[in-house]
Amino acid sequence: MKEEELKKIMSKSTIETSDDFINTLMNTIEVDQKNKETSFWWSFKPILITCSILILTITFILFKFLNYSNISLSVLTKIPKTPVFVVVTLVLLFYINSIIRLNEYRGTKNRFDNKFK
Amino acid sequence: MRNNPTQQDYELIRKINKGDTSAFRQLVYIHKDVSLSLASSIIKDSSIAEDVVQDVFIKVYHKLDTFSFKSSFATWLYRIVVNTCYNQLKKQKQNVSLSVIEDAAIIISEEKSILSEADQKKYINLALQKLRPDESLLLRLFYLCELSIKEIEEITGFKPSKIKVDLHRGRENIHFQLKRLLGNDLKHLL
Repeated sequence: MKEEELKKIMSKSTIETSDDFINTLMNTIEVDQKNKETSFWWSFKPILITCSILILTITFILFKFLNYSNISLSVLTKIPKTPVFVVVTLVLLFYINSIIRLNEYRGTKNRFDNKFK
Repeated sequence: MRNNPTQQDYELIRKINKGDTSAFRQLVYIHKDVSLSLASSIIKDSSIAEDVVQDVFIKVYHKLDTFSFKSSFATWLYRIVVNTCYNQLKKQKQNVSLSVIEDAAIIISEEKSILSEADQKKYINLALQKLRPDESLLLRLFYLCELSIKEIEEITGFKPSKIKVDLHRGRENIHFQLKRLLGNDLKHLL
């Protein structure tokens, strides 16, 4: 088979997409963008910043204010600070992790639902 | 059909980067059929190939701001198509039953006395479907997209020697497949 003949044959080998290809694609992109916009506040960076601020605040409260021999806080001063700090931090991280995972699951579920609607 | 870096592609990309989604619609319209053809060369099931191309265009939309205007958009796009398809192929075991393809050949062969444009397309794509993924992909890149060996190398990551060998085999095999499907009616295609 000559090159020109093969070229002619191959020029007919284009496969056309289905009629709703572009519309489906644009809808998916639109939904993706909306999900991205709403999920920004639940994304990793803002949560990491919030978490860091909260941990620093807790540390500050535990190690600074609880040292005062104030009557109302006298009971609190007896609490061992380091284990409490560790426990509170772990609980906080656990909840933040749950929130992120729940949000990601919701996003994935939405994308899946939109794809197979 | 030469899908070179066109000024039109560049203008559309600039518009998309400014937030114009209708420009993306235009860009997809220009490249969707060739992208699907390339995907179908690797993933023989056209419905799966279409899903993969959809995913590729979504990926492209989100990564378009990283596109450097130094290279051709088509080359960049086809590289993503080819990589995604080969990854997809690795993930899933290809369950394309050869019997389905054989049946399709029989159905068409009964109608082959009249070779309309649509029939010709069916035969050609059926013949390409029977080739190895690399061969049909290279034939499409070389003859349909009219890309050079260097550009094909850039898209597929194959060595020039492999490209030349597979192109040679592809030429022989497509001729054999078309002859097998059409017999003497092959001359209607030429």
